[in-house]
Amino acid sequence: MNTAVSLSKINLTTNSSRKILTDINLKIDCGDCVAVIGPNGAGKTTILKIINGLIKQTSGEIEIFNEKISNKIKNQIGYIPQNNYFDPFLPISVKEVISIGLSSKYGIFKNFSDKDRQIIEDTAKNVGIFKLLDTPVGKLSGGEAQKLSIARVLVQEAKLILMDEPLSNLDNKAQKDILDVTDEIYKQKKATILIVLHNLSQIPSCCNKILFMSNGEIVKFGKKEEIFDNKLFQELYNL
Amino acid sequence: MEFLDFFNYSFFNRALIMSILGGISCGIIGVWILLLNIPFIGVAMSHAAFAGAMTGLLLGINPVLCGFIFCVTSALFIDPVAEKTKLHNNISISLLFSFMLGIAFLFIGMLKDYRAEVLGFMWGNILTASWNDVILSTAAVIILISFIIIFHKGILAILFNREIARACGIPEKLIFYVLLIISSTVVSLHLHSIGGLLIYSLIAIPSASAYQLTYRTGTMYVISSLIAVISCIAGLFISSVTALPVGATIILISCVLFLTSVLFSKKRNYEKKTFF
Ligand SMILES: Nc1ncnc2c1ncn2[C@@H]1O[C@H](COP(=O)(O)OP(=O)(O)OP(=O)(O)O)[C@@H](O)[C@H]1O
Ligand SMILES: [Mg+2]
Repeated sequence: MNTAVSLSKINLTTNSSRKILTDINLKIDCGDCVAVIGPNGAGKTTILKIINGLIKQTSGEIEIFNEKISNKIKNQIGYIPQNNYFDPFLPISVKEVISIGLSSKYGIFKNFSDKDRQIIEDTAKNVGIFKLLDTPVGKLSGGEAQKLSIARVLVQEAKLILMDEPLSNLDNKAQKDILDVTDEIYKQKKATILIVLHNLSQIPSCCNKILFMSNGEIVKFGKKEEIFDNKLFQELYNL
Repeated sequence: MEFLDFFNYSFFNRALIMSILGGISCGIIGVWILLLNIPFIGVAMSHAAFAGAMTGLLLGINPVLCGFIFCVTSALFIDPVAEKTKLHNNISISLLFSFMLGIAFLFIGMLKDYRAEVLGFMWGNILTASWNDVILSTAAVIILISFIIIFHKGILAILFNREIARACGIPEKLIFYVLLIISSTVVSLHLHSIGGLLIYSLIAIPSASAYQLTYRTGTMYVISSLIAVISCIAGLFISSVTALPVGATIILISCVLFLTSVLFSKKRNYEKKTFF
């Protein structure tokens, strides 16, 4: 099995020497779908940002698809950040934001062909925002904004997808939509997915592994079934 | 003097051309500064350029060149300072701004014999533009527009969200810094004609007006440039007829255009009434 993400002995300390991540060792295989779970401030967002190079670790090694992080590797990582706030008057349309995914895949100098425009439209259809293609992004609802982020990552054809709480602030219907789309991506694209969630009941059915974090440490990492059987975990989450 | 007589003077024609060129460049970089949410950068850059010009005068080096060096250096410091101090961009920019203002005024104090030049760099005077200024301004406009055409996908990505651009491997830092360097060039090139203090207004106000009127970035560039050009040309004519200071007239006209654009921003007024 090929390794998608390999973190070894990752430490992250702030300037004021507070430990944010302590001794993280983690190997995620290609094709895994990992639910990342833990209380507020556990370090879930931080670990995603370490994986895509937005934050530089204090010590330790990272490899993505067996390579050091570079722009070439980042082109294969799709990132859906925790906060989806857009300036309400931002003069940028949904279509343009989706096209950023293509700019990541092809580089910023390639002109889009008709086929690329078709890809953008098809993807928008798949995630259910086709009618909004020409809408300015600031006008989207929270759920629509999440779908937009997913569409952007889909056209990027990212092999590793990092989703930071894609369900927060969404109503039940929107949550179900996002989970269904995630399942669909997983089946169709065979991508490796890390998805940060707050609630165990929200885990998409495609998830095969669970990473439980607390206080900047990995408390538990393993197959979904094993973790669900684990006493510690049941206590922590009062299952 | 008859109205049309103005065109018989080559200094007036030069000023007219400078209005168009300066208006286009300021209008465009204003859009970047507004959408990147770094409004203070225009202030910091123009004051750095001004401080540089004062340093040039004091040391006997070409003041515009010196202004350019100060402007670029300070623009390139903004992000690293913010990262090191963990302060928001706008805070590191205002730090830089205060520092530059301190330097500028220190040197003005030391430059007792150069009052006219000092004021020239502070307020500028578009009527004193030389053919050399016109050529440099033309070059700046050509560079700006080529940059937008060649890099428009990268620019779109960073205007949308710098963090996402960086995360998906788009050369965000490179584009951001090139964008700042081009903006610095425009600011220092117009030190003579528009002035270190007034140029900030010409960057901020037209783009803010354009922001009221459109949801498309391309259209925003056009409207912003158009408003800046109209302000400059109208300011030029009004000040020639009334003998008011030209720079101040330009800025006041752009403010009037801004207020008008807020009034005419019907779409938004309508939405506010419907939803809130
Ligand atoms: N830029 C920063 N500088 C210093 N400390 C930070 C920074 N960002 C996050 N932290 C700290 O790092 C810890 C982990 O934060 P992180 O955002 O990764 O938590 P999280 O698990 O994503 O929490 P949440 O569920 O609230 O999103 C927190 O204690 C937070 O205070
Ligand atoms: Mg988080």
